[in-house]
Amino acid sequence: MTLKTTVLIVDDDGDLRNLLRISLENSHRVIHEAATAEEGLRLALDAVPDVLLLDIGLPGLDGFDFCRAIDEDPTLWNMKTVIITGHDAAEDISQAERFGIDAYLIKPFSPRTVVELVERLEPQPHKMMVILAD
Amino acid sequence: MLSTGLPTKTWPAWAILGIGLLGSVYVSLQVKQDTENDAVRQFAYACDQVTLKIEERLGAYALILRGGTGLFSASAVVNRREWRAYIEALQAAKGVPGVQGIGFAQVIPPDQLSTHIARIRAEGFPDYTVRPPGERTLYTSIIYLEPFRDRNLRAFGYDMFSEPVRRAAMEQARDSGEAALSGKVELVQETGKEVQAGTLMYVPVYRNGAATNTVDQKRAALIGWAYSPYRMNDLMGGILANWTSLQGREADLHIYDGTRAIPQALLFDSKPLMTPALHSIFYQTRTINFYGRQWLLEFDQAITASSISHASAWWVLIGSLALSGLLSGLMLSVINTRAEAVRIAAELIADIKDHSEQLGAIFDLSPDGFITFDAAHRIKYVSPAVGIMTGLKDDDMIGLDEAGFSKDLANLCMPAARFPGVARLREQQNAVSAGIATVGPTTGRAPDTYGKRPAGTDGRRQIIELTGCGNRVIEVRLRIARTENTSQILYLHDITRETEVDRLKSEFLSHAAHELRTPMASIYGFTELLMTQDFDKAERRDILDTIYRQSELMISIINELLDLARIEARRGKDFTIERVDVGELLRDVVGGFKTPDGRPSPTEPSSGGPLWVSADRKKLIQAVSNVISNAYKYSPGGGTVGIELVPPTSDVPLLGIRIVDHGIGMTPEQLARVCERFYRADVSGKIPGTGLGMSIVKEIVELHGGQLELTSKVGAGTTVTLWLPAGNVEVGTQAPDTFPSSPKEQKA
Repeated sequence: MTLKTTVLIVDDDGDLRNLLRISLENSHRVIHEAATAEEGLRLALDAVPDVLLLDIGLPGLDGFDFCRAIDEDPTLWNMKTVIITGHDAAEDISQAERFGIDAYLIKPFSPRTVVELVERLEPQPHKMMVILAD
Repeated sequence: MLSTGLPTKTWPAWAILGIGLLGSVYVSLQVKQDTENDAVRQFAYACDQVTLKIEERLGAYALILRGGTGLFSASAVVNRREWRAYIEALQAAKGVPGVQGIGFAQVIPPDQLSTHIARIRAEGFPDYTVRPPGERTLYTSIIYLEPFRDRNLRAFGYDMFSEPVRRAAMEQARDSGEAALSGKVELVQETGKEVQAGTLMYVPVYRNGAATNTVDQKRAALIGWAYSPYRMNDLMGGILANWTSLQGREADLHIYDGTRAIPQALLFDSKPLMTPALHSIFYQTRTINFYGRQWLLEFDQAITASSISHASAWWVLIGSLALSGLLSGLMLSVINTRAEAVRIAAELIADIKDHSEQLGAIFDLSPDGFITFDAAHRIKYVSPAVGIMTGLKDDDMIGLDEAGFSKDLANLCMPAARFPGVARLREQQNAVSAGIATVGPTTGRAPDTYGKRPAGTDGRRQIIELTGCGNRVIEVRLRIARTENTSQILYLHDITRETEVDRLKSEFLSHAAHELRTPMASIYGFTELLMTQDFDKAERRDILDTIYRQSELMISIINELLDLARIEARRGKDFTIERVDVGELLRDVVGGFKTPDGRPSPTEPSSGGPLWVSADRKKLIQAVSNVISNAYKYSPGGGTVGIELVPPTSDVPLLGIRIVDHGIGMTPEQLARVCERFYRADVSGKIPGTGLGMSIVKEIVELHGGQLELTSKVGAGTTVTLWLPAGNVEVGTQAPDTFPSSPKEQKA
C-alpha cells in the first residue's frame, strides 16, 4: 500500500489553482486548495501536507507571513515549500532563501516543470534494498 | 586716456609747476643777485683797497714831508744841498711813486723880500724872483724843489700863498700844525701838454724851539712849509695799475675834490675817453678825509659780458626749471596713474559687487545646497538651501571642520546610503581624475534594481539618503576649488522627487509586468496541458474558456496600460477641448452603454438647461464609462446605478457628474487605495478587472483641472463624483504634477 502525497495550493487566482490542480492531480496525490493565507494555514495544520505551493501575492497576510507562521509549528517543518510568484526581484528570492524555501517558481511556468518539481519534492515511495550475497 | 567719471584733479601737478617756475625764477634771481652781490662785494673790496692805498699814499706823502720838516728840527738852517740829499735818499728807496717833487716854501716877511731874492740869486740863480709880483702882506716862495729839473723848474720862486686854493691849504697847515691837502689846482708845472689835475700837500715847518700851542704861536713860529705837488694821474697811476691786472676788468674811478661829483671838481678820471654811462650796480663811493680835505671817490664798473658771470644764475634757472618740469611731470603722471588705478579699482569693485550680488541671488534662490570650505578645510559659507535640506543650522556649520561636518551629515543619513565624508569624496575624485577608479556603482548592491539608482558613487557623485527634514535623496558632489581662500565646495542636489518618480515608474512597470504574468500563467499553463494531456470535451471546453477569458483580461490590461501611459505622457496636450453640454454627453454615454446581464440602464439626471464644461469629449466619455462600468461590476447583487448632475454654485465653481451604485461598497482602507494602479478591491477573483480603470478616470479628471471624489459604505454602495471646472478652463494647467499619482494626493 502506498501512502498518498498531500499537496496544498494556496493562491488567490482561481484559474491558477485550477491549472495546478489539473496538472498535479493523480491517483496518488491529494490536492487541497485555499484562496487566502488564513485558510491555507488552517488547512496546512489540519492536513499536514507534504508539498506546499504558495503564492506570495495574497490579500491580507502574504506568502512570507504564511512562512513565518509555519516556522513556528514543528509539525510543518518537514513540509516542502514551493513559492509561485510573478515577482522575480532579487530581494524576494533572497528572502525566500532565508525562509528555507525549497523552490522559487516564477510565473508563467510550464505545468510540466511543476509536475517534475513536485515529484522531486514529495516523499519517495519506500524502497527496500535487497542485498544479495556474492 | 582717462575715462569719464570724476574729473582728475591734476591741479597739484600744475601747482608744482607754477611753484617750481616761481621758485626757479626766484632762486635764479637770487643766484644772480648773489653773483652780482659777490661781484659787487669783490668790487667793493677792491674799492676799499684802492681807497686804502690812496689814503696810505697820502699818509706816506705826509710822512715824507714831515721827514722834510724834521730836517729843520735837526739844524737851524737847512740848505739846498741838505734838502737834496734828503730827497735823493728818499727816492733811492723808491718808496713813493707819484710824487712830482718835494719842496720847501719859505715864508718871507715883506720887509725881507729883497734880501731874500738877493741871497737866492747869490746861490747861483741870477734870474730868481718871487712870482707873482705885487704888494702882499706876506710872501712865500718855493726855494727848494727836488728833483730840480724838468717841470719842477717852473715852480722855483713861485709864491703859492698868492693863489687862493693853495693858500687855503697852506693856512690850514700853518694853523693846524698838521698836513693839509689843497683843492684842485693846475700845477705850475703844467706845460700845456697833457694837463692833469693837481693837488698839493703842505706840512708846516716851525722855528726850532718855538712854542706852537696856539694858532697865534704857530703863525708866529712858521718859517715855511714842506710841500709836494701831485699830478693826479701820476699819483693814481701806481694804485690802479694793480687793479686792472688783478681784477681783469676795467674799473672806472672818478675822484672829486670835495663831496660833490661835479665836473669842475673832478680830480681824476680813470677812463677819460669813455662817455659816462648811468651808474651800474657796482657804483659805489668812498670818501677820503685827509686832515679836513675831502675827496669823493666814485667807483664804477662797466658791466660787460665778462664783468659778472651770470652763468651760474642761468644754470640754476635751467636746472630748477628742469627740476620743476620733472617734478610736475612726475606729479601729473602719478595723479593720472592713481586716477586710472582708482577707476580700474572702481570698475573691478563694481564687477565684484555685481558678481557677488548675482552669486548671492543664485545661492539664495537655488534649491541646491552649496557649502564652501576655506583654506583650512573649515566651513565658511553655507547657502540657505543646505539648512532646508538637512536641518543643520547655518550657525552651527560655519567654522566647523571637514571631519566634524562629515560626522554630522553622516548621522543624518540612512545606514544604507550614508555620507562617506568629505575626505573620502576627495579621494574618490582624485582617483577618478587619475583614471584609477572605475565608473559604476560600487556599493555591492546588485545592479538589477531596474530604474532604482543605488546609493553609491560613480566616482564623481555620491548619493545619500537623509532623514533629517523628511526623507530625502541627495546627490552630493565635491568640487576642488582653485583659489587661495577656498579649498573645496560641496554641492547638494535634492533628487528625492526624481528618485521617487523613478522608483514609482519602475515599481509601476514591474507591477504591470507582474500583473500581465498572472493571466499569462493561465494561458501558457492551460495551453501546455491541452497539448500534453487528453481531456474530455467538457473539460476541454472549460480550459479553452479559461484561456479565452484570461486573454481578454490581458488585452484589457495592455490597452488600459497604454491608455494610461499615453494620457500621462501627453499630459493632456492631445486633448481636444471643446464646449461640451454635459447633459447631452451623459445621454450619449448611457445610450451606448451595454449593461451586463441585461440589467437596467443607469438612470439619467433630470434634464434642465445645458450645462457647459470645456472638455475633451472622447476622454470624458471614457472616464464616465469607466465609472459606470465599475458601478455595475461592484454591485453584482443588482441594484440601480444612478447618474446625477451637481451644478456649480458661486462658492463651488465646479460641475459634478455623480454616479451612485448600491453595491458592495468599500472599506475605508479600500477607498484609500482605489485609484492605485492595479488595485483591485475584489480579492476573490470573481469580479474581473485590471485595477486600472479608476486610475484612468482620476488622470482624465485631473488633467481637465478637476477633482475626483469617492464616498463608500461597505454593503451599501459607492458614490463617485467627477468634479469639473465649469465654463472655460485651460486643460492641464491645474493638473497635479505627479507620475504616477498616489492616493495621498487624491482630494477626496
